[in-house]
Amino acid sequence: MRQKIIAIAWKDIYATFKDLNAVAYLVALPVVLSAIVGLAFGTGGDVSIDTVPVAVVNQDQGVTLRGGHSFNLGQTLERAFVPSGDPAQDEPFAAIHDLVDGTAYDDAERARDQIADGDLAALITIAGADFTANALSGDAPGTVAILYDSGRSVGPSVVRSIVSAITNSMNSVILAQRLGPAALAEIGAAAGADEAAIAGAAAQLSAEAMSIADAAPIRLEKVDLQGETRSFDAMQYFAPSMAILFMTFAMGAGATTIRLERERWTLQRILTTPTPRWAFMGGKLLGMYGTGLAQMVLLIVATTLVARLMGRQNSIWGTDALALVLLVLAVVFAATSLGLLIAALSRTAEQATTYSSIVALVLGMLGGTFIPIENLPDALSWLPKLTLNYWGIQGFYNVATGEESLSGVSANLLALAVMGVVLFAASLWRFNRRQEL
Amino acid sequence: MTPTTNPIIELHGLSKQFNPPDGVIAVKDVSFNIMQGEIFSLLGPNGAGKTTTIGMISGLLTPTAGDVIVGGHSVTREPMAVRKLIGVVPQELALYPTLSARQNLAFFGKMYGLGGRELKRRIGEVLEFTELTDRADDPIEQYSGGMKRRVNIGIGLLHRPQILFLDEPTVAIDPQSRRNILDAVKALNAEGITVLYTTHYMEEAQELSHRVGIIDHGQIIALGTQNDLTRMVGEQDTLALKVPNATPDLVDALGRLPGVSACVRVDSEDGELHVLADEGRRALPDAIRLINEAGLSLQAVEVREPTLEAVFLHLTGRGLRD
Repeated sequence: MRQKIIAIAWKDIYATFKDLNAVAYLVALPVVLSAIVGLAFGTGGDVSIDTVPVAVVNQDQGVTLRGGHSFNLGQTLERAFVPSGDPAQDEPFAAIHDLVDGTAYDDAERARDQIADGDLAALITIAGADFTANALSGDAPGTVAILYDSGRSVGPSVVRSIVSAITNSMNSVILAQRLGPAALAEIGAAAGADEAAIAGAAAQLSAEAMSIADAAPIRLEKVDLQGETRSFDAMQYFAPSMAILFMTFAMGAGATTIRLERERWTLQRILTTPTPRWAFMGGKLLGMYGTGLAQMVLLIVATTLVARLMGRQNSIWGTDALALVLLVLAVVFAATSLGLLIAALSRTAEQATTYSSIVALVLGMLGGTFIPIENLPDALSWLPKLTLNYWGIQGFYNVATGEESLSGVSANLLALAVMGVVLFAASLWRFNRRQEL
Repeated sequence: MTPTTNPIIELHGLSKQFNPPDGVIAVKDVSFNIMQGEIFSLLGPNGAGKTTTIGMISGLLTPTAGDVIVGGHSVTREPMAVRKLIGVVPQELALYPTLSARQNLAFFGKMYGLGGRELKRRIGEVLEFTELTDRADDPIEQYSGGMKRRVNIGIGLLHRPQILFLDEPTVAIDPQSRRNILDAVKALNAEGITVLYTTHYMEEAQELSHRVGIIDHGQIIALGTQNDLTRMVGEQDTLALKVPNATPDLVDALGRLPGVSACVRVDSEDGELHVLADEGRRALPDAIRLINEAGLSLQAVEVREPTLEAVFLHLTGRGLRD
């Protein structure tokens, strides 16, 4: 019986890869798409996101404090993005300047046009001449507006993170400046200190707070950029995401062949030979699994070669061979079970094709193939975790960047294995319920 | 080959209803035996229940009632034992179009449990028998309809079955290919293979069969040798008339002529009418008169001796191809 199962599986794998159209669709297309995406992010080496082009329009006039000391929060924020040319002043923001290419603009309209043209990723507007004065007095909150092109996925999110971190820090300093002297007076009075000494200490505290804020204490180390500081190679993300997407399409094609066997009467013919139904199903399952494995191996080899041709020195798929192999086996298992369930739910080959295309696209969208899952609303953040694409892409990406080893992707492996088992059990249940293949 | 008197296939009260209790009853209480070494034809129009009957005999369909014993094994209780004895050639071209004939044969040979040298030898023999050796490595999708039919039959012969089921094997092929297939069936029978052959072509059943079972609406309505069956309609002749644009009124009028038991339109495109008459030549002048009165032209006429078509017409009042 083992020979029959292998014969059925081999026949499917052979027929799939004999068809040049299928090979182009299943292997060449994802390689080309990965390469295009890779090229879009740069042509070689580590493609860092340190060149996000940003415009800053600072309308803040600042305030002059007692003693002639000037203070301008808007300028501090501007300096975080736009180098002043003074090494001493720019040093605290050096890491941000590595990520962002900021330019001071007077004309917001011109910046808007450049965003529309794709020349800029975002425009930061520090609104109003009284930005600092209002922030310090608490009369009206200062507004920092970020205008960006939602079509760009990475750049705007970097800018948002940096601005958010800086304004949060500023708020802390302002709060300390506002509340500190009052708290000092209260504590001093309770301790019996004289009023002149308390007033002197409060004035000194206030001046130091200003000085600290003016010196821009915000450093990138304090900014939670959620990993954006690390080197980001687009192909390390898009090669596995495209591979998994097209493998789910391939598994859909596998589902279609199960239905086609019935429509072409080859299934009925097999069942008139001394071959039981379970052997047929075993052969189809093995064939789909083998096709998926062959496709993934070809894609890994092809994208690695393409990446080398594009001048990339680092490995697109990482160097942890064991983790990579286990991830491939787990992803293909989950996708095969999914294909089997689609076959079980379909009544015709045409229906199987339609269902599998829809499922592959939806899983791709939810799993992060087309849009970064960070852009999903918080309420929907759990959705990607229901997809094999999410667990596969994250696992491959973490292995590729060397962030995680085998133990680090164990959760991904477990999630994919559980999905595979559940989908497989559901498909068997469905086949048995219908009492036919 | 002269058939023995040993039944190799026994049908006992076989019935099949799809989607019970309200679904279509495709086969109703069918019982008959097929003898070892016999060519047995199941003759009936499309939808009569021929394919459903073969499906149950080969174990593809589970009977709603009854059982089939093949070579001493029950199809319902010992399906694997039965499948080793039979070769099935379905009406559909059950082939993988992108694979070659040799690859198709190799694949199905493995499904029959063949392997190694035995499989290779049998593939060679089958290719020779079907006269496809020269094109054996071309993809099936490049074959003509007749060549595909030959591969379809060849697969059923790979494991040297004792019994061969051929379900309408000559549908939609050219006359030359049909002739080749009919000759092949006779040759296989001469080698000792029992054949169950379904068709709605009366001529094929007449040429091939030792015995014929006529099936209609899922029931066997007549069974026996050709002589047995034609005796059922007495010595009636069939008057074949080619009358383009024949009207239903004309068909009715011809059927009411003295000495005529029925008239049926067998080919609406050519306007071929079959008139079942006690004496065809005597009924001919009246038939010509009616055609003239209807203002229609008679393009051809032929008087035929009793056939299985006439038997079917006699039993059902319809033509086999209605």
